[in-house]
Amino acid sequence: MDKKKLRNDIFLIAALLLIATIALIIFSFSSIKKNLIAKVYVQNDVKEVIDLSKKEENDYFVQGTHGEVHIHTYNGGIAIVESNCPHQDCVHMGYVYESNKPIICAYNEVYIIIEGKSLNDAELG
Amino acid sequence: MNVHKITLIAILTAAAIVLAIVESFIPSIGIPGVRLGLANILILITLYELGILEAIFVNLCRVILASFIRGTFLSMGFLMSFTGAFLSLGVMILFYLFIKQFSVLGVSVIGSIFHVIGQIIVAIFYLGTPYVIFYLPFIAIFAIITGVIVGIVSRIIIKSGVIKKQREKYNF
Amino acid sequence: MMKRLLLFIPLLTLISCSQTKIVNSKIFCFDTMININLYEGDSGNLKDIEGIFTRYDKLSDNYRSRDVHNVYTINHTNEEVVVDNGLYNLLNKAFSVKNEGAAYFDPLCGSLSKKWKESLEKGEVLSDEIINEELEKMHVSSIEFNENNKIKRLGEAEIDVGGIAKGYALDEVYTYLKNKDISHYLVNAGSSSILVGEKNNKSGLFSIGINDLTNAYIELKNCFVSTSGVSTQGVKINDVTYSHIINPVTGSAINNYDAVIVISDKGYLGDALSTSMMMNSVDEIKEIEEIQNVKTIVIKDKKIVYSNKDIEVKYH
Repeated sequence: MDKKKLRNDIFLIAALLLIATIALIIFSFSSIKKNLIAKVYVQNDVKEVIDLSKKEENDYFVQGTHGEVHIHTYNGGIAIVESNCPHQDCVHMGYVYESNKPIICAYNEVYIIIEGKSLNDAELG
Repeated sequence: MNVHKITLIAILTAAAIVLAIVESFIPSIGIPGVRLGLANILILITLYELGILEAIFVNLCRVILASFIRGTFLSMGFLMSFTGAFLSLGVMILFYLFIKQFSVLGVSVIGSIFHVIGQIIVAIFYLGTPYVIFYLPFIAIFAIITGVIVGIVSRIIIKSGVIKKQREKYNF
Repeated sequence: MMKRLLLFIPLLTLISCSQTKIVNSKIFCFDTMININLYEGDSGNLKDIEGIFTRYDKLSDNYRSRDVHNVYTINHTNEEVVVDNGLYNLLNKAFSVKNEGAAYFDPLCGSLSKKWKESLEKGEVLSDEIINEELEKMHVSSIEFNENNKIKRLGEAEIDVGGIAKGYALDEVYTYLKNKDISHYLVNAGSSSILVGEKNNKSGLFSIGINDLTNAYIELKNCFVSTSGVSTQGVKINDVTYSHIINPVTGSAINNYDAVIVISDKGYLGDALSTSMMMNSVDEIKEIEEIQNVKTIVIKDKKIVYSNKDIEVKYH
């Protein structure tokens, strides 16, 4: 095959890798690591709101579409530790300690979204 | 149609399905259902050696039959696969036809990226949360690496002329 | 073995459910979003509270007729109208609150308010002619409070209880929660009137952000807090800011301040005062604070003009 084409390919690959890496760095930096709350959704309803900044160790059980999902919080992080989904992708995800990284159990339609705590309980005005 | 051509397409399809099933055993991190797209090797070979229509056919069979076998037809995983596979093929066809500056390798990498983009778009709509997009850069890097591997393997097979010989021998 | 495991799991669910509890509901009433957060109680309580808001939303509506006799009904007749007991009491409060320090609160300025609103939407200042016409109407109008919940409007001025209805509804919500022994809650009526109970932490204090200041908040519990907050609703014409708060004496839509925040133990009072005080001087405000036992923060141009010595404004 054409050497020129191959050279173009390499440029393309390098450019794509660069973009992806930059995006990864930006997302990493923009994630919040303190004052987090985790919202556990089942389908589209919030079932639990967990204050991760308390760093408490707790177990939560939510009823998903196909079964119960066992969530565990420890030291400010949260993870799905048990689920009856076939691939166990959500369990393999492990503990998450920062925002912007949702934990998703698609089989049971349970998602954990971690956000920064909004600083006030309510706003006036 | 030429029996030999049909046989060849069948073999390519079967190989694509096998790869699709094998790669489904690799756990996906973060977003359930995001797959690397190894089967693209066969799709690329079909595209370059047999043609666009044939590639579309093999792609369609790959997605549907693999889902039948895994029992995931019409599930979220299937929709992700379908969208990813066809978005990827669409873009690859565009490059193949109009953007001739790249070889199989480049086309493969582009196809790989759009494969995961398609899957993530479905994940966002299906799960109803935009937060899923944060996994894109991470998965994209894996997709690029896979794309390179797929591109190299495809290139080797195409260059070896195995299929070209078959076509010349049996006239299709 | 399997049976025991199956019994065990629901027990675990019960235990874990008691840990973080928020029962929450959002409804659209009084043309704004009402956010009800209960840290104890159940969805039945939420439904009851939603009912209170819906009820007063209908009753206080002066823009359209609803399925009950409401303010709109009264504004379109000079005959006697029989109203719901709640509306009767709300109107009573609206017309008597000027004796509780809300000197600039006049519920008869409904028509004047509407005309100002229409004019400002077109980017125009309301003409003095129309203002005087409306003020004249208000001077010759009044309300008769008769036996058996009968209200009769005399004259052509229209009633508008928007400046007190949310606070009044919150008073009812407070009574309801007290009767149900629920003490941990936060009920936010459109960010302009908030009822706070106690938070589920050591101090029991809720942090309430002040949007008219930068990064500021105050910590409160067991009280009502209202704001007049015009900065989000003000219209600027020729460098002058006009708001939705009309001075019922002069007919002007220009206020002394950008916002007045009132902390009180009576919802209707805080609501009415936060509007009325926009036209008081700081000295007058201090006087009213003393007599009515309320605390205020007065804001202009994103700065605190005056704040009660017992309130500590904090910053993030």
